[in-house]
Amino acid sequence: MTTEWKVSFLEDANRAVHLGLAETTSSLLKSLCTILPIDAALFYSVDPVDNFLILKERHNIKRPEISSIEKQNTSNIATRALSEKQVLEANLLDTRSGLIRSQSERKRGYEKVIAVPIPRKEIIIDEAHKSVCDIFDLPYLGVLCVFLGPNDESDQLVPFFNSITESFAQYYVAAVQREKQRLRKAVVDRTLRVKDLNSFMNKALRVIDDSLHIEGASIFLWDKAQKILRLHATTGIRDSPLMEDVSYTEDEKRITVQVACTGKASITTNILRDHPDTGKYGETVKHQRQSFAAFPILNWGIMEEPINARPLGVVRLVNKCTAIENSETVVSFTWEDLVLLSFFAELVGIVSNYMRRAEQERETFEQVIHGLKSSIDAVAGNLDLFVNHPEFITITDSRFWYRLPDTLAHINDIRWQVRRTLAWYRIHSGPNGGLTNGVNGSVKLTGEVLTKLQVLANQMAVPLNAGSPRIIFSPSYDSFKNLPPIFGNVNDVQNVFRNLIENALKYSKPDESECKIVLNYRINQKFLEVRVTDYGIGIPKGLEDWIFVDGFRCDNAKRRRPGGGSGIGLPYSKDRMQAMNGDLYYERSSDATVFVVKFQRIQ
Amino acid sequence: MIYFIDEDTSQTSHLRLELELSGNAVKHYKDADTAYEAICELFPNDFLIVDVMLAANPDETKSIYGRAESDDYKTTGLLLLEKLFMKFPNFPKSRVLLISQASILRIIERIQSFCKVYGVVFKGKDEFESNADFGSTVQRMLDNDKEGK
Repeated sequence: MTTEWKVSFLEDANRAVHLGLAETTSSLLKSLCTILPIDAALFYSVDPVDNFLILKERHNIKRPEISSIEKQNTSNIATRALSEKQVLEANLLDTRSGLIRSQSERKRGYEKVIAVPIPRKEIIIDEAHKSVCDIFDLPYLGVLCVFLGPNDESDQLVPFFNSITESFAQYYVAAVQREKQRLRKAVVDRTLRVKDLNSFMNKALRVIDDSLHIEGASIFLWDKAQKILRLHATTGIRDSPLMEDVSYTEDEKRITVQVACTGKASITTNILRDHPDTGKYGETVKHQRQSFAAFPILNWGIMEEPINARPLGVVRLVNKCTAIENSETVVSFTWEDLVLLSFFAELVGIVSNYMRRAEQERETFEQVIHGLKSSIDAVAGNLDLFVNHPEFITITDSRFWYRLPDTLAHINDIRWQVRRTLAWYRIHSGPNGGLTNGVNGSVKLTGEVLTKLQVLANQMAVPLNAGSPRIIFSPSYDSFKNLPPIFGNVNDVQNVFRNLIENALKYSKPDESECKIVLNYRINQKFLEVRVTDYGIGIPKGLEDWIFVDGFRCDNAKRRRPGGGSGIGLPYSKDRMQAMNGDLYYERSSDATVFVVKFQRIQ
Repeated sequence: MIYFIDEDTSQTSHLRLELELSGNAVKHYKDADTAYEAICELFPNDFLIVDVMLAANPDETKSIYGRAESDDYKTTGLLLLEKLFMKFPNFPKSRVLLISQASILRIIERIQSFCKVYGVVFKGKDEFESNADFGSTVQRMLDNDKEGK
């Protein structure tokens, strides 16, 4: 009989091991209750710090029937089985299990309880780095407890359980490994589109909250000089200080700093008991602070073994909550929780290393550009003085004076290109799609933007060496006078039209002395669409969507004079229009290039 | 008096000249330490223009601004303002213009957070189309403040 039971159980376990941790455990308990003459089952996992038992899964027992989720003393059969390192059997007519309420034991007619400690033996739980491995040096993974009523086969149960403990352990550990894969996928799915390190860490912390029911978590990283441990992400800090004010210095005697210096994890079941002086910058949690774990974020970006280098920072977690029927009981971290959390810290560490280096390179770029911007602005500013205050200069040769406006046009064009590159760079380095050049509100399109296009086009034609631009309002300029206000901000709208005019000039046909740009519009209740049409070299078929991809330039564009172009103008303009609840798109036409600028009307 | 505190003389000399041509008295300081020592009094009708990424005394031992607290001297201007606000607690925050051409998001967020706390106006240097644009922006701030806006 024992053999038959074992075969059936192993078949069920094989099927269940591909599920997540909770589902696998539930399936194993359900299988036991189906195959064996038992009525109900509980599985407790072990907290490796204090050897408490925490209820992880149950079958056929309701939450209100359970006496407590966490077992801290030996007044129950499960903890006794663990401490005595053997299967224990108890007659419930003489004693109580200490696991479920005695009323429930009587009501359900349970006669016996069997507690089976699940040994770890040679199973490798985790190949985590040494700093965390010590806590996984457990002799037992958990305790399985089963309840049964009057039964003739009960004397065969203990030999059966003795024969399956190793298999149970293996399947359970396999389910934990599977859970790690799920956690990794959840982190990747949630953070795939982030553009900066802090956004990645904030979103990753939300995954921990959702998957592992952690009440409070924070991530701190050392600053460049490695003297200040700064907060980079958090689920919330008490009293809501400004993020940049939350930091520790390296000489502060705090667990967070200690972990971030030594690379050794710190775990406790009761933070207030073990570290009473934990008042500074605690996480906002609903319950009293109890279970606490801090894992180092190792520096994977260097040649030597990460464990020997000073960590990048620390992940700090407060209050693990049990997931039993959405209960809000705070419990200790079990060994599975610590495996998953240390894996999470490793994941954060690897990604942080790479993102940090990318951010440093961006900052280097910013430093380079900063100097360039300064020089360009200095030249432009000084030329501006000469143009606006001619009383400053005495020019003996009028040829110099007539060259000034052209020079200024060239300088302004460089400024515009540099600014746009930086604005595009900001879009790609920030979580909010970058910064607009102003606050969105009501814009009078004709008066504030369209009437200035001719002057703008005249200035832009100089550095672009294009034919004389002519902006034509179709059917007439008067028809544009009463356009309704649109939603947006003037600077961004001006920049979008500037980009389209620039492209029209840049890609005009070389043999034409005049560059015609026609504006017309279409209007409905919600939107105003302005069409900008030019008759230049056009966009090759099939590349209509590509022109809005960063850095892309069509071949015919690359061969145009003057050379150069970043390929960021249209993507940037499209981004800006979408940020103003509008859009920018290309409309195919047989002999012209048509761009549609779509604005949301102010209702 | 308009106090213009920015290390980049070549970039700002024309802006200062623009302010002077509009009839303002302008004093220029090139680093945060010099500015803090030199500004002995701030009257309610004075005006401060402060660059965020401001230099400090090149001799680190003589500077009151640390490398770590100023984020490697990327936010020295903010620290200078904090110290001036403490030194002159009655100076109206509406008489301050913070300028910068930083584009690192982290720095811009820090600036925005500072402005939110202190109620100070911030403008990116590249928001100004020309010297005249800069001059008229400052003049508007001076006039608005006069009218109690």
